[in-house]
Amino acid sequence: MMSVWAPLALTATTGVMIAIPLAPALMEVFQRRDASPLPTRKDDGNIRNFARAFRRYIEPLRPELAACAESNSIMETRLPNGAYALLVGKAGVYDVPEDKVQTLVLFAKQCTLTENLVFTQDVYAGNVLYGGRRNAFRALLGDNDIYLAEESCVLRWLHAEGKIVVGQLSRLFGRVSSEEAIYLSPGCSFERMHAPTIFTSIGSELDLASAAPETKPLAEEARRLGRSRINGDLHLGSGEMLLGNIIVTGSIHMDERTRIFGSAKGNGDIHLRDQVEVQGSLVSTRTIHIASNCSVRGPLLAENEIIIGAGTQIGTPGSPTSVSAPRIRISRDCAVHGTLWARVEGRVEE
Amino acid sequence: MLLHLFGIVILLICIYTVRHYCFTLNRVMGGQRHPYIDIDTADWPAVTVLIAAHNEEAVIADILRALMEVDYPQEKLAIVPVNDRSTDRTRAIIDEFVERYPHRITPFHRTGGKPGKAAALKEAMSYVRTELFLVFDADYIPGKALIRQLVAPFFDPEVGSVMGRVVPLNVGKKLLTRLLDLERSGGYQVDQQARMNLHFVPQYGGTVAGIRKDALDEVGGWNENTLAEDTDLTFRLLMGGWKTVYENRAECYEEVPERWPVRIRQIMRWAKGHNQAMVQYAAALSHRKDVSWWERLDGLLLLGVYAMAPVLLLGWILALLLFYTGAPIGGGVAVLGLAAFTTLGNFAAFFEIAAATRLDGSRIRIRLLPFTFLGFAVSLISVSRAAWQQTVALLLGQEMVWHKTERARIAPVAVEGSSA
Repeated sequence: MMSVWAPLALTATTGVMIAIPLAPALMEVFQRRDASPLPTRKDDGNIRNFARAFRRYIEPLRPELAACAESNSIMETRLPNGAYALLVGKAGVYDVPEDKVQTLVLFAKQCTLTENLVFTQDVYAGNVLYGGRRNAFRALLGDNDIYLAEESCVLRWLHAEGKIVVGQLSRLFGRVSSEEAIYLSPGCSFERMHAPTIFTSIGSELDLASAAPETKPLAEEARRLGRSRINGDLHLGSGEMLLGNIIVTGSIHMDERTRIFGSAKGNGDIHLRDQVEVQGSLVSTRTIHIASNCSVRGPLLAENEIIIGAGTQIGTPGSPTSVSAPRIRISRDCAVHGTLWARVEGRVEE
Repeated sequence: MLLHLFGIVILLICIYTVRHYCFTLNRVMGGQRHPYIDIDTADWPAVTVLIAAHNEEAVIADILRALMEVDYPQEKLAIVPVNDRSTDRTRAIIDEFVERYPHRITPFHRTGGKPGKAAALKEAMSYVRTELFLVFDADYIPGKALIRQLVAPFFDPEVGSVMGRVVPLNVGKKLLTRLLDLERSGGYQVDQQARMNLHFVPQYGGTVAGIRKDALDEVGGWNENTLAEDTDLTFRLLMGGWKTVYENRAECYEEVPERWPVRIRQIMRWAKGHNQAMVQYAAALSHRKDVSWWERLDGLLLLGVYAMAPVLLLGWILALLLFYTGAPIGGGVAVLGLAAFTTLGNFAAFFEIAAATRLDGSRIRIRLLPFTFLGFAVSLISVSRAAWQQTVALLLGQEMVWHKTERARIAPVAVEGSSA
């Protein structure tokens, strides 16, 4: 005689076997540990956000920093959260015995740093800061100009209310922004930069500013295209002018002095020879090669790499724009007005 | 005959399964495309924001308040609430905002005309005097940077429309809302982004979206004879040589249905509209030589997504019939069972949802995965029912009716930076 317990046991065992995989699901239904909406982006993405947060962080030290400046002294103090900070009220050369400064440092006056100094905490400069060779900063905020000497390194962010001048072979990781201008020397590498003007040469500012091409009147002889879509590659001959947007399924080659009064998109490489002018944006799904003395007024985007030749200008002072690609190589004597954003690495050619 | 039909069903299901696997693997291991996300400085163009609103007194104030806070040049942003024949307090609430912000909001109060979002948007186009316009449903709450994120891709002259990511806000309300949250994650975080990565056909979704007016005009404007103006437009733009791009980080909160009947009505409307587009554009798309081979393939599979539910049901029926009639179906049943199990839902397969929760960093909610079977079963039946109703309506010459999704919000929600 079959016991009644056998089918019951079988049913119970089967039920448990089904319930075990469902147990985490049932627990989550009742416990609701992860039942909030997914967080969405709330910030405005402003490049200065880190600098602003740091400024708020050091705000409580302002009176003490002013007192240090008045007494030309150096003192150590603490922030409300207990973190140590070094307040430097003396002007001139900041000379410390060790190579590594492990506290937050706030300079009240113009200051010059010695070589090989490493700041493992953030630095604030209330006046002009002259870095020494091979200085390394975690992050740096300046209320005036900042001069970084050769082979300097900034690990997280750098912001200056004045201009930023960067020496040769320096490496700038993270965000770099200036309210005036950024000057990059040959061999510098960068990631995200923003300024009214970013120059890739020190001392060429006047030439470039005077050469800034504001909107030129539309040429009478320009070929009106509206929006045109071209299958295959497109080759524009020397001096040709086009009015409208061009979309090309292949590559685009523009010879010398081509002018486009509109935007161009290539689903392949884009090659611009010398003195090409694009009044709109230039977008490529691969690489953009720009020869010397060209100008692009709108955003410049490539999904692979952008190579910018000498003397080229992107954007205008009155109409700043963005340059974005995983890799950007930029030659000397170029000017970019706005944002220069290399997601993997940007480099100024030596 | 039945055996051949069964073979076709299995083939179709396997194709969709492979498609889901490809998307998931691409999203987890492939290169990610976000070509426009870094445009943060530009000469931003003027843009109009259309807010489609039909009896939206519960939610309209939230979106208007959020739009007043966005980070976009004020003089270049025109806001047009499209009050479509509302019979509740929608009009009064909009007018209150117009009074408060007289130069920023231009209302369009529609009192008659054909029902439906497409018809309302079509009439509202006379208020759009900018090259670009964005479309939001009234239950959406845009964040500060959203307008710029949606406008940035239009610097690419090939882009005709832009789609942002929809994120459910009322997740914690019910099991249904939590399941829809998972489904949305899979659909956007994996499916849409993978199609963007692979240069396929990301879908314009009709809200949290932008359109280039020239592109819309070029492809014939809004089609008011459709239940899914978004799918319809996606395919007309594609065949007109325009790209739709997806911006995964242009996120916007929405309210998902909190009751099963509302959800069923919603998915049935989507299914009918989508099937309409399939009938209308599948043949034309497959012959378009100026659309890439991959885009055509993906486009056709996208058009057939909602047809897969009745196909799957048919497969199960055929499997039973063939099994009991002793037909030599071999491993067919097993393949069908496996594929059916892995191609759950209209977009979001099990593994897509799992990948999405990992990418979103919300790993605890993945524990609800077994319950997605519930959502799948409801969708399967509802979508199949919709297909049946549609076939009958077609045979009887009946016109399809547009149903608005019912809102459950009863109080304003707190928006970043607002006083709500």
